Amino acid sequence: MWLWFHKLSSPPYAYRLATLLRPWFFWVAMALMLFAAYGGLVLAPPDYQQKDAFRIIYVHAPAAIMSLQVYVVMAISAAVGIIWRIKLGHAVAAACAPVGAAFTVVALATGSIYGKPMWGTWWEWDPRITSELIQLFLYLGYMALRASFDDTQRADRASAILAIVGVVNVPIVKYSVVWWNSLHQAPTISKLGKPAIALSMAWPLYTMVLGFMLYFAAVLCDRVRSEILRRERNATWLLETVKTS
Amino acid sequence: MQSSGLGALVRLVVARDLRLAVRHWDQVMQPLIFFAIITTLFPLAISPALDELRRIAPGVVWVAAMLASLLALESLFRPDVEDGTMEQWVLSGQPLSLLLLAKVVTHWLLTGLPLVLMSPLVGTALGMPESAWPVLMATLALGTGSLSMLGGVGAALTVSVRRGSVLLALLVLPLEMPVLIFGARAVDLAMHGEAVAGPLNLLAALLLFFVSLGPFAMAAAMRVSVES
Amino acid sequence: MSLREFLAMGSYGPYIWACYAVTIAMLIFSAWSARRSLHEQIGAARRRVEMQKEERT
Repeated sequence: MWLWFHKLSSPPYAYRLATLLRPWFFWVAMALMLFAAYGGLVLAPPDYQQKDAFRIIYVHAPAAIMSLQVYVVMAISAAVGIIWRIKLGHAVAAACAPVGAAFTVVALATGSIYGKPMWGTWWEWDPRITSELIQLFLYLGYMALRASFDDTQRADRASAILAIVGVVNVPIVKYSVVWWNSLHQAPTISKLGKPAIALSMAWPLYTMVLGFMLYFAAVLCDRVRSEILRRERNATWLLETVKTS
Repeated sequence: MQSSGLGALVRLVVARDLRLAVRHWDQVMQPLIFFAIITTLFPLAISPALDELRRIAPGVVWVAAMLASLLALESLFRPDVEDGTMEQWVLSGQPLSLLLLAKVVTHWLLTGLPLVLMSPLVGTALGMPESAWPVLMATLALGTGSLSMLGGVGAALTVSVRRGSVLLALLVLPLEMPVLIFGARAVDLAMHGEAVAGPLNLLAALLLFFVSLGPFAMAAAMRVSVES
Repeated sequence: MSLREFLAMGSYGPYIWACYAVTIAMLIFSAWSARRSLHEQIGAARRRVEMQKEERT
């Protein structure tokens, strides 16, 4: 196990593994997403309350789930990078941030469009959407801090500390936002929430989430490769790899 | 002997910072003036009617306090990093987290505490009833402590970055939002004569949490900023 | 169900299709920008190899 971990954390091995896995992740993700979209848009019956508008949830919810999950992945790999001094950890963390921010933007945009027919406004200070907005700020802060250092190693370590502090704070932010909202409004069931849904409505959602995860893995493969290329400029293995490919 | 040596060192740090503050008292005043100015903007921007202002007073005071504490962070580590003192500390082998904690506590005494003491004045100007003063001061006392700790981590991360103050705001403000929520809501509840134990306890819990973990994050961040 | 009915989505059509369009646009952009920066890095690395070769000869 330890040996495997060590092997995986060596840049040449990780680089080749990412090259190898990327098409699998990508095409399986595409297939799953198409399948889920078909299930969500065509097969699933309209919701009795929200009619057809609930079909937005098949893109909104996976994006929102990913925005949090990518942040956790980012913080864990940053922690691995800073605690065990594994360069690959920092490379993965750096690769996560732009993808996570993109998911967050989608979650916000679709949540806002969802709000229009449901609440009649483009923006509602709903706890989920509010914490999604704060999540976006956390991503933007992370990327801004990373960009403000010229030296990659310092950027890695400083942003790793920020990612860890951020991930510790995320539950506090979520809780405080829910608490804040419950004081201002009668506690109704959040309209973007998850009422018990029928299987015919649920399976496309889970499939879509899985598709998003694999898509993220595919994009991560590409981004980690370019991070490795950037960091290992003059490594001989790299020059060999580039020449032959 | 080790512990008493450490205690002496901490006392030395605190005494030195306090002496420096007395010498540069104008810098200590700046965040306070900023606090007063921001709260003046709201009546001008919204309405002079106290009824209207009273409704938003807790939020205004809290946002202004948050921004003032952010402004004050600029002077937390920068002078020490620029004159090389911080590098000495990092290399000295003394527990850096403790030294930085001492610095943050001193800094809070100089910037947080005056805000707390000044808050009833500002609150009154916005139509806040006297009955809400104790809660306002209590939330600010607990809350600005948390803000100082979170801000200290951010300041340590950005101290070596050129023009780091905007970046500092970007990093720290999202993390500070829970403190704002609990603080402003507690004052709001107090103004309506409702129980405030809940949010006050949450604020105290946050303060304990940040004080116990913050110094380690600060020390790690400072090592990154200073070593190179 | 006719295509028209499917596209209308019971009057929610514009909202639903806007959401899917935003999502698809992000998915494409995100994958494309990752690919592009990878190809840029590979190109830069190739050039370094070429330069080293020239130096040697």
